[in-house]
Amino acid sequence: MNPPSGPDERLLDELREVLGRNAAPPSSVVEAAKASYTWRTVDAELAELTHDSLVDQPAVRTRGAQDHRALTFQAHDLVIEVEVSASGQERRLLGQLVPAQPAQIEVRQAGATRHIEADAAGRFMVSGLEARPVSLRCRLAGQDPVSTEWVLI
Amino acid sequence: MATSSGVGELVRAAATGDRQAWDELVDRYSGLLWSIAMAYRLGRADAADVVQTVWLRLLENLERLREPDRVGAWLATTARRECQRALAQTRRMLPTDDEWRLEPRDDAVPTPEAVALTSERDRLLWMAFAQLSEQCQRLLRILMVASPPYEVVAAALGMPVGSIGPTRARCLERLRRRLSASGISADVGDS
Repeated sequence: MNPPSGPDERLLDELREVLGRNAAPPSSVVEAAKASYTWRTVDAELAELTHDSLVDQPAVRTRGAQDHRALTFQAHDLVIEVEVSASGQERRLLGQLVPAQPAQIEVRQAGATRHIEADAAGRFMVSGLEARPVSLRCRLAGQDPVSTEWVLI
Repeated sequence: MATSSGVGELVRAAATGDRQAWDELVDRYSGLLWSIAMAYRLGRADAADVVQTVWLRLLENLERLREPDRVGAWLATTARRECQRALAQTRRMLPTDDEWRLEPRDDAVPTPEAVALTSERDRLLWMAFAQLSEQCQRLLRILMVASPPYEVVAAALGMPVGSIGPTRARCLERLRRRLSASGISADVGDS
Protein backbone atom coordinates (compact mmCIF):
# COMPACT_ATOMS: atom_id res chain seq x y z
CA MET A 1 0.00 0.00 0.00
CA ASN A 2 1.22 3.51 -0.69
CA PRO A 3 0.89 5.63 2.44
CA PRO A 4 -0.45 9.08 1.64
CA SER A 5 2.03 11.87 2.26
CA GLY A 6 0.99 15.41 1.45
CA PRO A 7 4.14 17.19 0.26
CA ASP A 8 5.58 14.03 -1.35
CA GLU A 9 2.36 13.35 -3.20
CA ARG A 10 2.19 16.93 -4.47
CA LEU A 11 5.78 16.85 -5.68
CA LEU A 12 5.18 13.55 -7.43
CA ASP A 13 2.05 14.96 -9.04
CA GLU A 14 4.03 17.92 -10.30
CA LEU A 15 6.75 15.64 -11.66
CA ARG A 16 4.08 13.60 -13.35
CA GLU A 17 2.70 16.70 -14.98
CA VAL A 18 6.04 17.92 -16.24
CA LEU A 19 7.75 14.64 -17.18
CA GLY A 20 4.62 12.69 -17.87
CA ARG A 21 3.69 14.67 -20.96
CA ASN A 22 5.56 12.31 -23.23
CA ALA A 23 5.51 9.31 -20.95
CA ALA A 24 2.51 7.46 -22.36
CA PRO A 25 3.25 4.45 -24.55
CA PRO A 26 2.78 5.11 -28.26
CA SER A 27 -0.52 3.76 -29.51
CA SER A 28 1.41 1.61 -32.00
CA VAL A 29 3.03 -0.19 -29.08
CA VAL A 30 -0.33 -0.82 -27.43
CA GLU A 31 -1.92 -1.99 -30.67
CA ALA A 32 1.00 -4.30 -31.46
CA ALA A 33 0.65 -5.87 -28.02
CA LYS A 34 -3.05 -6.52 -28.56
CA ALA A 35 -2.42 -7.91 -32.04
CA SER A 36 0.21 -10.30 -30.69
CA TYR A 37 -2.58 -12.46 -29.27
CA THR A 38 -2.63 -14.19 -32.66
CA TRP A 39 0.74 -15.75 -31.81
CA ARG A 40 -0.91 -17.73 -29.07
CA THR A 41 -0.25 -21.47 -29.35
CA VAL A 42 -2.15 -24.07 -27.38
CA ASP A 43 -0.65 -27.32 -28.52
CA ALA A 44 3.07 -26.73 -28.19
CA GLU A 45 5.34 -27.45 -25.26
CA LEU A 46 7.34 -24.41 -24.17
CA ALA A 47 11.13 -24.66 -24.39
CA GLU A 48 12.40 -22.23 -21.77
CA LEU A 49 15.40 -20.01 -22.28
CA THR A 50 17.82 -21.45 -19.75
CA HIS A 51 21.01 -19.82 -20.90
CA ASP A 52 21.80 -16.54 -22.64
CA SER A 53 25.47 -15.69 -23.04
CA LEU A 54 24.51 -12.03 -23.22
CA VAL A 55 23.54 -11.93 -19.54
CA ASP A 56 24.93 -15.13 -18.10
CA GLN A 57 28.54 -14.23 -18.76
CA PRO A 58 30.45 -11.05 -18.08
CA ALA A 59 29.93 -8.61 -20.93
CA VAL A 60 32.75 -8.76 -23.41
CA ARG A 61 32.99 -5.88 -25.77
CA THR A 62 34.04 -7.00 -29.18
CA ARG A 63 34.91 -4.93 -32.15
CA GLY A 64 33.43 -5.54 -35.53
CA ALA A 65 30.12 -6.29 -37.09
CA GLN A 66 29.91 -9.98 -36.16
CA ASP A 67 28.69 -10.77 -32.71
CA HIS A 68 27.89 -14.23 -31.43
CA ARG A 69 25.36 -14.84 -28.76
CA ALA A 70 24.63 -18.34 -27.45
CA LEU A 71 21.10 -19.28 -26.42
CA THR A 72 19.90 -22.55 -24.88
CA PHE A 73 16.25 -23.55 -24.81
CA GLN A 74 15.06 -26.54 -22.82
CA ALA A 75 11.93 -28.62 -23.12
CA HIS A 76 11.36 -31.97 -21.41
CA ASP A 77 12.95 -34.14 -24.05
CA LEU A 78 14.63 -31.62 -26.26
CA VAL A 79 17.35 -29.01 -26.02
CA ILE A 80 17.74 -26.38 -28.72
CA GLU A 81 21.07 -24.62 -28.93
CA VAL A 82 21.12 -21.46 -30.99
CA GLU A 83 23.96 -19.19 -31.94
CA VAL A 84 22.87 -15.70 -32.94
CA SER A 85 25.13 -13.60 -35.11
CA ALA A 86 24.50 -10.01 -36.09
CA SER A 87 25.46 -8.08 -39.15
CA GLY A 88 24.15 -4.57 -38.71
CA GLN A 89 20.43 -4.91 -38.17
CA GLU A 90 20.23 -8.41 -39.65
CA ARG A 91 20.28 -11.57 -37.57
CA ARG A 92 21.32 -15.10 -38.41
CA LEU A 93 20.59 -18.20 -36.35
CA LEU A 94 22.69 -21.35 -36.33
CA GLY A 95 20.98 -24.11 -34.44
CA GLN A 96 21.39 -27.61 -33.06
CA LEU A 97 18.73 -29.95 -31.72
CA VAL A 98 19.75 -32.27 -28.91
CA PRO A 99 19.28 -35.20 -29.19
CA ALA A 100 20.17 -34.81 -32.84
CA GLN A 101 17.15 -35.41 -35.07
CA PRO A 102 15.45 -33.93 -38.09
CA ALA A 103 12.58 -31.50 -37.63
CA GLN A 104 10.34 -29.02 -39.37
CA ILE A 105 10.91 -25.61 -37.87
CA GLU A 106 8.69 -22.58 -38.16
CA VAL A 107 10.74 -19.47 -37.49
CA ARG A 108 8.17 -17.07 -36.06
CA GLN A 109 8.87 -13.40 -36.32
CA ALA A 110 6.45 -10.61 -37.08
CA GLY A 111 6.56 -10.03 -40.81
CA ALA A 112 9.33 -12.58 -41.41
CA THR A 113 7.91 -16.01 -40.55
CA ARG A 114 9.41 -18.82 -42.60
CA HIS A 115 9.69 -22.58 -42.64
CA ILE A 116 13.00 -24.38 -42.52
CA GLU A 117 14.25 -27.85 -41.71
CA ALA A 118 16.74 -29.32 -39.30
CA ASP A 119 18.76 -32.05 -41.03
CA ALA A 120 19.30 -35.59 -39.77
CA ALA A 121 22.06 -34.28 -37.48
CA GLY A 122 19.63 -31.78 -35.99
CA ARG A 123 21.35 -28.77 -37.52
CA PHE A 124 19.59 -25.77 -38.97
CA MET A 125 20.35 -22.27 -40.14
CA VAL A 126 18.27 -19.24 -40.96
CA SER A 127 19.48 -15.82 -42.00
CA GLY A 128 17.97 -12.49 -42.93
CA LEU A 129 15.97 -12.19 -39.73
CA GLU A 130 15.25 -8.87 -38.12
CA ALA A 131 16.44 -7.61 -34.74
CA ARG A 132 13.02 -8.32 -33.20
CA PRO A 133 11.40 -11.01 -31.05
CA VAL A 134 11.64 -14.50 -32.51
CA SER A 135 10.32 -17.94 -31.54
CA LEU A 136 11.05 -21.32 -33.08
CA ARG A 137 8.26 -23.84 -33.35
CA CYS A 138 9.73 -27.29 -33.90
CA ARG A 139 7.75 -30.24 -35.20
CA LEU A 140 9.43 -33.55 -34.45
CA ALA A 141 8.41 -37.06 -35.32
CA GLY A 142 6.25 -38.67 -32.66
CA GLN A 143 6.21 -35.71 -30.25
CA ASP A 144 4.13 -32.68 -29.51
CA PRO A 145 5.50 -29.57 -31.13
CA VAL A 146 7.95 -27.52 -29.08
CA SER A 147 8.03 -23.70 -29.13
CA THR A 148 10.94 -21.69 -27.80
CA GLU A 149 10.37 -18.74 -25.49
CA TRP A 150 10.26 -15.49 -27.39
CA VAL A 151 13.63 -13.79 -27.43
CA LEU A 152 14.58 -10.38 -28.72
CA ILE A 153 17.56 -11.02 -30.98
CA MET B 1 -3.76 1.74 -12.41
CA ALA B 2 -6.61 -0.45 -11.24
CA THR B 3 -6.10 -2.52 -8.15
CA SER B 4 -4.89 -6.04 -8.49
CA SER B 5 -8.34 -7.49 -7.90
CA GLY B 6 -9.63 -8.89 -11.14
CA VAL B 7 -6.37 -9.27 -13.00
CA GLY B 8 -6.19 -12.92 -12.01
CA GLU B 9 -9.51 -13.43 -13.75
CA LEU B 10 -8.25 -11.63 -16.83
CA VAL B 11 -5.17 -13.84 -17.00
CA ARG B 12 -7.24 -17.00 -16.64
CA ALA B 13 -9.70 -15.82 -19.26
CA ALA B 14 -6.96 -14.84 -21.71
CA ALA B 15 -5.44 -18.28 -21.19
CA THR B 16 -8.63 -19.90 -22.45
CA GLY B 17 -8.97 -17.84 -25.62
CA ASP B 18 -10.72 -14.70 -24.38
CA ARG B 19 -9.23 -12.00 -26.59
CA GLN B 20 -11.01 -9.16 -24.83
CA ALA B 21 -9.42 -10.20 -21.56
CA TRP B 22 -6.04 -9.97 -23.28
CA ASP B 23 -6.81 -6.50 -24.59
CA GLU B 24 -7.81 -5.46 -21.09
CA LEU B 25 -4.52 -6.68 -19.68
CA VAL B 26 -2.65 -4.75 -22.37
CA ASP B 27 -4.59 -1.60 -21.55
CA ARG B 28 -3.94 -1.97 -17.84
CA TYR B 29 -0.21 -2.59 -17.96
CA SER B 30 1.15 -0.91 -21.10
CA GLY B 31 1.80 2.33 -19.24
CA LEU B 32 3.80 0.52 -16.59
CA LEU B 33 5.88 -1.44 -19.09
CA TRP B 34 6.66 1.64 -21.14
CA SER B 35 7.67 3.56 -18.02
CA ILE B 36 10.06 0.76 -17.05
CA ALA B 37 11.73 0.90 -20.46
CA MET B 38 12.00 4.69 -20.16
CA ALA B 39 13.35 4.33 -16.62
CA TYR B 40 16.15 2.10 -17.97
CA ARG B 41 16.81 4.76 -20.61
CA LEU B 42 16.05 2.69 -23.65
CA GLY B 43 15.47 4.58 -26.86
CA ARG B 44 11.93 4.46 -28.17
CA ALA B 45 12.60 1.81 -30.81
CA ASP B 46 14.35 -0.48 -28.32
CA ALA B 47 11.60 0.20 -25.77
CA ALA B 48 8.96 -0.84 -28.29
CA ASP B 49 10.84 -4.10 -28.98
CA VAL B 50 11.30 -4.84 -25.28
CA VAL B 51 7.67 -4.18 -24.44
CA GLN B 52 6.56 -6.39 -27.31
CA THR B 53 8.85 -9.17 -26.10
CA VAL B 54 7.38 -8.93 -22.59
CA TRP B 55 3.83 -9.30 -23.92
CA LEU B 56 4.81 -12.29 -26.05
CA ARG B 57 6.42 -13.88 -23.01
CA LEU B 58 3.23 -13.39 -21.03
CA LEU B 59 1.20 -14.84 -23.87
CA GLU B 60 3.08 -18.12 -23.81
CA ASN B 61 3.07 -18.27 -20.01
CA LEU B 62 -0.60 -17.43 -19.42
CA GLU B 63 -1.43 -20.97 -18.33
CA ARG B 64 1.79 -21.42 -16.40
CA LEU B 65 1.70 -18.43 -14.06
CA ARG B 66 1.74 -19.72 -10.50
CA GLU B 67 -0.01 -16.61 -9.19
CA PRO B 68 -2.20 -14.99 -11.87
CA ASP B 69 -3.24 -12.29 -9.39
CA ARG B 70 0.36 -11.09 -9.26
CA VAL B 71 0.77 -10.72 -12.99
CA GLY B 72 1.78 -7.07 -12.47
CA ALA B 73 4.90 -8.08 -10.58
CA TRP B 74 5.58 -10.83 -13.14
CA LEU B 75 5.37 -8.32 -15.98
CA ALA B 76 7.59 -5.85 -14.13
CA THR B 77 10.25 -8.49 -13.44
CA THR B 78 10.19 -9.66 -17.04
CA ALA B 79 10.44 -6.06 -18.26
CA ARG B 80 13.42 -5.38 -16.01
CA ARG B 81 15.25 -8.44 -17.31
CA GLU B 82 14.50 -7.62 -20.94
CA CYS B 83 15.66 -4.03 -20.44
CA GLN B 84 18.91 -5.30 -18.94
CA ARG B 85 19.30 -7.67 -21.85
CA ALA B 86 18.74 -4.87 -24.33
CA LEU B 87 21.28 -2.67 -22.55
CA ALA B 88 23.79 -5.54 -22.55
CA GLN B 89 23.24 -5.91 -26.27
CA THR B 90 23.88 -2.21 -26.84
CA ARG B 91 27.04 -2.27 -24.74
CA ARG B 92 28.29 -5.28 -26.65
CA MET B 93 27.93 -3.58 -29.98
CA LEU B 94 30.05 -0.59 -29.09
CA PRO B 95 33.69 -0.28 -30.14
CA THR B 96 36.18 -0.36 -27.34
CA ASP B 97 38.02 2.83 -28.22
CA ASP B 98 38.50 5.09 -25.26
CA GLU B 99 36.88 8.04 -26.94
CA TRP B 100 33.58 6.16 -27.26
CA ARG B 101 31.35 6.21 -24.21
CA LEU B 102 28.04 4.56 -23.70
CA GLU B 103 25.60 7.41 -24.09
CA PRO B 104 22.16 6.12 -23.26
CA ARG B 105 19.63 7.54 -25.60
CA ASP B 106 17.01 9.25 -23.59
CA ASP B 107 14.15 10.39 -25.77
CA ALA B 108 12.33 11.64 -22.70
CA VAL B 109 14.82 14.48 -22.37
CA PRO B 110 13.07 17.50 -23.83
CA THR B 111 14.66 19.30 -26.72
CA PRO B 112 15.89 22.83 -26.02
CA GLU B 113 12.90 24.12 -27.96
CA ALA B 114 10.47 22.13 -25.86
CA VAL B 115 12.16 23.32 -22.70
CA ALA B 116 11.93 26.91 -23.87
CA LEU B 117 8.19 26.55 -24.31
CA THR B 118 7.56 25.43 -20.78
CA SER B 119 7.52 27.61 -17.73
CA GLU B 120 10.65 28.50 -15.83
CA ARG B 121 9.44 26.36 -12.97
CA ASP B 122 8.98 23.35 -15.24
CA ARG B 123 12.47 23.82 -16.60
CA LEU B 124 13.98 24.02 -13.12
CA LEU B 125 12.03 20.97 -12.04
CA TRP B 126 13.40 19.12 -15.04
CA MET B 127 16.98 20.21 -14.32
CA ALA B 128 16.67 19.25 -10.66
CA PHE B 129 15.28 15.85 -11.60
CA ALA B 130 18.06 15.25 -14.10
CA GLN B 131 20.64 15.82 -11.38
CA LEU B 132 19.28 13.06 -9.18
CA SER B 133 21.06 9.72 -8.99
CA GLU B 134 20.26 7.13 -11.62
CA GLN B 135 18.46 5.06 -9.02
CA CYS B 136 16.25 7.96 -7.96
CA GLN B 137 15.40 8.90 -11.53
CA ARG B 138 14.53 5.32 -12.32
CA LEU B 139 12.33 4.96 -9.23
CA LEU B 140 10.50 8.22 -9.79
CA ARG B 141 9.87 7.54 -13.48
CA ILE B 142 8.11 4.32 -12.55
CA LEU B 143 6.24 5.83 -9.59
CA MET B 144 4.91 8.60 -11.80
CA VAL B 145 2.81 6.15 -13.78
CA ALA B 146 -0.44 5.87 -11.80
CA SER B 147 1.35 4.90 -8.57
CA PRO B 148 1.79 1.15 -9.02
CA PRO B 149 1.83 -1.04 -5.91
CA TYR B 150 5.22 -1.14 -4.23
CA GLU B 151 5.47 -4.86 -4.99
CA VAL B 152 5.37 -4.04 -8.69
CA VAL B 153 7.85 -1.17 -8.34
CA ALA B 154 10.21 -3.46 -6.44
CA ALA B 155 10.00 -6.06 -9.20
CA ALA B 156 10.72 -3.41 -11.83
CA LEU B 157 13.81 -2.20 -10.00
CA GLY B 158 15.07 -5.46 -8.55
CA MET B 159 14.93 -3.96 -5.05
CA PRO B 160 13.39 -5.35 -1.86
CA VAL B 161 9.80 -4.21 -1.50
CA GLY B 162 10.49 -2.82 1.98
CA SER B 163 13.04 -0.38 0.60
CA ILE B 164 10.70 1.28 -1.89
CA GLY B 165 8.94 3.56 0.61
CA PRO B 166 12.13 4.88 2.25
CA THR B 167 13.89 5.28 -1.09
CA ARG B 168 10.90 7.15 -2.49
CA ALA B 169 10.94 9.53 0.47
CA ARG B 170 14.68 10.03 0.22
CA CYS B 171 14.61 10.73 -3.53
CA LEU B 172 11.77 13.20 -3.23
CA GLU B 173 13.56 14.97 -0.38
CA ARG B 174 16.69 15.29 -2.51
CA LEU B 175 14.60 16.67 -5.34
CA ARG B 176 13.02 19.15 -2.98
CA ARG B 177 16.45 20.29 -1.76
CA ARG B 178 17.74 20.78 -5.29
CA LEU B 179 14.65 22.77 -6.14
CA SER B 180 15.12 25.12 -3.23
CA ALA B 181 18.80 25.40 -4.14
CA SER B 182 17.61 26.69 -7.52
CA GLY B 183 15.73 29.29 -5.61
CA ILE B 184 12.18 28.01 -5.94
CA SER B 185 9.92 26.50 -3.39
CA ALA B 186 9.05 22.85 -3.75
CA ASP B 187 5.42 23.42 -2.84
CA VAL B 188 3.04 24.17 -5.68
CA GLY B 189 1.31 27.45 -5.20
CA ASP B 190 4.23 29.19 -3.53
CA SER B 191 5.62 31.14 -6.45
